[in-house]
Amino acid sequence: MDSLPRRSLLRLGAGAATLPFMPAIARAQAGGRCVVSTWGGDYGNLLTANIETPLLAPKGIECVQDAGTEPARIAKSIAQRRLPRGNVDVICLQAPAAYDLEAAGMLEPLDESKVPNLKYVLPSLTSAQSIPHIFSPQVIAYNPERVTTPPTTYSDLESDKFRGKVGILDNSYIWVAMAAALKYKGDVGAIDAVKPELERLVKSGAHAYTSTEAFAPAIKSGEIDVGLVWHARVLFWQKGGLALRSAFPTEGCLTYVSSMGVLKNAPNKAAAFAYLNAALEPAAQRGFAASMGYLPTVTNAPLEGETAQRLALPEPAPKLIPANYERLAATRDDMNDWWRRLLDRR
Amino acid sequence: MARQPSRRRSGEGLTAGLLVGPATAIVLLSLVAPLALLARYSLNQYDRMTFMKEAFTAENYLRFVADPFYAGVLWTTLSIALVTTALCLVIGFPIAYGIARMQSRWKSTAVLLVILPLFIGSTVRALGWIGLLGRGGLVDSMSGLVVPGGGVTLLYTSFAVAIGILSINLPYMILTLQGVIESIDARLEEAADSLGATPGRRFWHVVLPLALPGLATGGILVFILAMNAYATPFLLGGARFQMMAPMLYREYAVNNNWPFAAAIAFILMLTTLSLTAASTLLLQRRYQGA
Repeated sequence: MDSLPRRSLLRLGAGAATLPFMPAIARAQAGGRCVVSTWGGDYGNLLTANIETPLLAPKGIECVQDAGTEPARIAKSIAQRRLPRGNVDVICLQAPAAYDLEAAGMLEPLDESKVPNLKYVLPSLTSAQSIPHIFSPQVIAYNPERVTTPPTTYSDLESDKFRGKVGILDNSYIWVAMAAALKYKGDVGAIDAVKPELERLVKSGAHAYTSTEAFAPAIKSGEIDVGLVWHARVLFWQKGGLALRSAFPTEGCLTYVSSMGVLKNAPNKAAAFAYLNAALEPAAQRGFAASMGYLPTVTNAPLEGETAQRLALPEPAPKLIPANYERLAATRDDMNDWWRRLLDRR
Repeated sequence: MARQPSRRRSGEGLTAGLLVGPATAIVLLSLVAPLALLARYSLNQYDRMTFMKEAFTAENYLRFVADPFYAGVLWTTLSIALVTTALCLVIGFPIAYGIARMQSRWKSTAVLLVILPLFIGSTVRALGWIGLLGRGGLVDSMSGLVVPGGGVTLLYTSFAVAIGILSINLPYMILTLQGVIESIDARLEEAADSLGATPGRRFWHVVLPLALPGLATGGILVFILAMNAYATPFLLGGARFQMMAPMLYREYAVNNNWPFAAAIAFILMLTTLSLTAASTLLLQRRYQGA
C-alpha cells in the first residue's frame, strides 16, 4: 500500500520531466526544426516566402534562420566543427566558400537519394557536397548614356576610351582576375598568371570600391562608366531607375553561384536535405528569379512572362563558364595579399 | 579596546572582497579569458584546409614585423590617430570651455547638441560624409560652382578618413573636457584676472595646467577609438587606404587566417597600450616635477 503512491509519484515525476521536451518530440515526428545559416535582408526574406512557408511548413518542418554575414557564419561553423552536434543544419554560401568547407570536410556528401531534385541541376553547376541555389553571369555593366559603343570583351576595359572610368568591386576583384584569365590565357584557373594585366588596369586609374552599393552612385555620377558585376545586380539597379546595361563578354561569362550545403554535424539532417530539395523546386526557383534577378539553376523551371523577358540572356546565348574553385582556393591567399599591396597607395 | 578596529577592518575586507568578487569574475571571464584564447591563437599556424593548426610559433608576429607593408599600415593608423586626437583637443577645448562656463538656460541644450551625434551609428555618419565628399556631392558641386569645371572629390582620401573619425570622436573629447573644466574653480581665473593676467596668460598658466588630467583622459579615449576605427576608414578611405582594424577584419573574415589576425590584434593592442601608458607616465612625471 505504501509503495503504490511512491511509484505513482515517480511515474508522475518522470512524465513531468519529459514535458519540456514534448514539443521537440512532436516536431521530430513531423519533420522537426531546421536551422538555416543565411544572409539576412532580401535573400533571407525570399527563403521564407519561396521555400520555408510554402514548401516546408506543410511538411511540418519549422525553419529558423541564423542570419549574418558570410564570414561570420563561416567562422561560427569552423568554431563548431569539432562538436558532434552543431546548431546549424543548412548553410548558404557563395560557391567558393562552399568549396572551402567541402575541401575542409565539413559538408555532408549529397546524392539524389537525399536530394531528388539534384537530377534537374544544370550540369555545369553541380558539386558533390552543395547545391547551386541561384546563379548569375558576370557582365560588363555600362552606362548607355555615356557609352555609345558597348564593350564586347574584357580587353575593352583597357582601351583608352575607358581610361580612369573602370570600376572594380574590391570584394569581387578575384572575379575580375578570373575574367582576365579567361580572356588572356583562355583558362579561368590561370588566376595568378594575369597579375600584370590587373596591374595595368589598376595603374591606368581604375576605381576600386569597398562596398557593392558604392558602384551604382559611381556610375550615376560619371565617376566610372563601366565595370564587371553580376547581371542580377544590373537588373536590380535598373529596377531602381539607374541607366545601366549589361554587355556579355564574347570570350564567356564567369558565373556567380550561391550555394547551399548541409553541415556534417547538423542536428537534423533529414530536414536539411528536404530544405535543399525544396530550394531546387521550380516554384522556389521562379520566385527568386522574379524578385532578385538571379537565374534558376535547374532545367525544369523555365521562366515565364515578364520575368522571362527581363532576365532573358542575349542571342546567341553567352558562354557561361564556372570558376575553377580548386585553383581559386589554391591561389586566393597569395592573390589577396598581392592585391592589397597593389592597391596600397601610401 | 585596541582589537576592535582591526576586527572591523578584517570584516570590511571580507565585505569588500565579496562586493568586488563577482565583478572581477565577470571581467576575468569576459575579457581576460577571450584575450588569453586570442593570444594562444596568435601562436598557431594558418592552414588553408583546416584553417588553423595547433602550433607554438612566433611566425605571425615576425611576418608583421619583417614586412614593410604591415609596418606602413600601422604607421598610417598611428598618424591618423595622432592627427585626429590633436584636432579633437584643439577643436574640443574651446567648445568644452564655453559649455562648462555657460550660465544661461541653453547649457543643457548645448550639451544635448554635443551628445546628439552619438545617437547615430558611425556607419550611417560615414554614409553622410560619402554624400558630402563624393563625386557629385555637396563639396564637389559647390567647388564646381566657384571654379567651373573644377570639382573636388575628397572621398577615398586620408582627409576624408580624418574628418570622419574627428566627427565621431569629438563629442567624447568635449564631454570629458567639459566635466574637468567645470571642476576647476572659476574664482581661480577671476584671481588671475584681478592680478592683471591677460586672457592668454590666464589660459596658459591657470586653466591649462589644471585641465591637463582631463586633456590626457580625453586624448587617450579618442586616441584608442581612432586606433581601432573600422567603419570610417573602410567606407571613407576606400579600397586603397589601409588601416589596422579593416586589415585585421580582412585577415580574419576574408582570408580566414585567424592566427595572423590574432597577432595583428595583439600588435594593435600593445601599440595602443604602450603609447597610452607612456603618455600617462609622462604626465605623471610632469606633475611630480611641478
